[in-house]
Amino acid sequence: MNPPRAIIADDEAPLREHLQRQLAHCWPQLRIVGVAENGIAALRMIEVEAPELAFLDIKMPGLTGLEVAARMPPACRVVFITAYDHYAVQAFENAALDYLLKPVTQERLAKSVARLQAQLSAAPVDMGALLVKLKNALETRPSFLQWLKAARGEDVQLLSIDDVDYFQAADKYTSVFTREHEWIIRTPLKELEDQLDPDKFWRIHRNAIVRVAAITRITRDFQGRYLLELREHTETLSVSRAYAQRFKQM
Amino acid sequence: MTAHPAQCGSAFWRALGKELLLVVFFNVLIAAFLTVLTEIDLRANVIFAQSIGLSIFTLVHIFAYLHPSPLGGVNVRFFAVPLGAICGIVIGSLFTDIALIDVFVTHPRTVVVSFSAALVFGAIISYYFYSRGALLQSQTALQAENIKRLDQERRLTETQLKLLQAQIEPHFLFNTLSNVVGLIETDPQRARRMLEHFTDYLRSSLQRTRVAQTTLDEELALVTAYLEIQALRMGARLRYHIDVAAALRGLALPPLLIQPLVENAVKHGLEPKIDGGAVQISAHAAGDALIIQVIDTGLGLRAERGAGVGLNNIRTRLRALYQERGQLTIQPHLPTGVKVSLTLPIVPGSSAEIGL
Repeated sequence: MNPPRAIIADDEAPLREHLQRQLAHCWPQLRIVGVAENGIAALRMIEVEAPELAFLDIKMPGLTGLEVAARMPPACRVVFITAYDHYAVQAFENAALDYLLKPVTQERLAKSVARLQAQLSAAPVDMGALLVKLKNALETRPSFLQWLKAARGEDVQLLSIDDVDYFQAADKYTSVFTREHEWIIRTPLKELEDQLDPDKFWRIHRNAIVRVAAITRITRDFQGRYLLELREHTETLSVSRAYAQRFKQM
Repeated sequence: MTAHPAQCGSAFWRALGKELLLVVFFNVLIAAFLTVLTEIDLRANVIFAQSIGLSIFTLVHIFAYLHPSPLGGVNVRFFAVPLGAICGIVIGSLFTDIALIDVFVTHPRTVVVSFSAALVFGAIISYYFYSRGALLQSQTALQAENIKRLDQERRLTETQLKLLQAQIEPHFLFNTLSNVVGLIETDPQRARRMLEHFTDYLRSSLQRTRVAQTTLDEELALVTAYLEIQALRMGARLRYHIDVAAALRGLALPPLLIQPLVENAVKHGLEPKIDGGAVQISAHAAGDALIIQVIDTGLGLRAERGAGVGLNNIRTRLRALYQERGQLTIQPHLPTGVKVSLTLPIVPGSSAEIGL
């Protein structure tokens, strides 16, 4: 049987070299056929060299370790390497995937190597489902939209959502009104609504979402429609019937 | 006199109704009192007292509505008393069979007594309602002020907690240690340098979270330690440059304003970029404002880059400390990267400014 072959991908040179030395010590038969310093180079190397094993750092420029694993040929087995991160450890444990924590200790590596040697004789398992699970676990940090990339003429800025008083739909874009200015973003109102904290922002019309705390006065016109006055704004916003329910309770 | 009738609402109308009932009640009392004092009978006195009292009541509120501002309001509102007294006497005479001209001729004393009574009681009652309204208003304002202050204090505490938690991120800690472990055998010199920078970093960031005020120089020392560590990790992929005049370095500054910006630039801008890039930190004074800029040539503005916590933390602290004078703007840097500008007032010396 040919000696097993592996590649190592990590964007930090000291860590690549260190792992290589540790592996040489723990698993002298293993041949390291290449080292990559970013995800794209790693994927190319796996495709060209077709190694049995890939040690992939999770956080790499170009492609992350997870992305490389999802795209590479299934014949290659993966051991992920990650620096300590509570979420990551949890996710790896749940997904039952091989992982090494930085700094990698000799004992921990020896255990991994023993397991890998046992697995090499069997056919590799399909990681697709596990990777999806892992990706979701690593990326689910549910939070509402905090920043908007907005334009005003030539000026482009990241606006804090806390500065926005209301949103108004226009033809092909959405207007964002802060205390001082009107900005423009590309996100449609509907999409925006799903990303905003519903306790802070209310939809009041097919074409408007308003920050509740910015409302200074609520009146009704002769037709019984609710009209909102906002702090620092001269324009009055009207509440369409479909969204009037909330204001009736006030 | 209920304050600020311009702000209509059910509470306002309830208060007004209560006031009206009280006015009617006082009017009856005054009528009874005057019956004892003058030769006019009780029925006529009740009619006059009500018409005078209600006229004053109505005028006071009309005036208050037209001039809601408290200062101008006081003066204008008290014209309502004599004017209301005159209106009331005229209206009252319409409801009784007492012809005004006759009364002036036959009972001049009654006229004088009635008018002065109207003035005196009207003034007393109006003043009573006015001061009650003003008291209520100032209590409400005080309460609102208290809520605002408590809210701000809560925010500051929250921000400070987050700051403490975010400071020494486990990921950064372990990554640095992994590098040191990796370097010890192959390049002990670099391993040692890394540990030294890391010690500097830990020492100053731990100190930093405990004091309310540092200087620009101390903050830059922390930033330098951080960048040195990252440069050892990232090699040629990270270059940095700090351009701050010596004259500005002594300026007082709330801690950890610049460090999170630099960390963002490295973490979200340069680290994920294959070729890496540069960070430039500069500061200059413009009038009585200090402008600090952190520019990177990384991947650029992406709203989803999740830098929210750090940036929000800075924003909240700037607002709490300097209100409108503290600004954080985040813009694209051309041709690539992000430019973050901090504007804050220059605090002379190391005055006992509250802060984090």
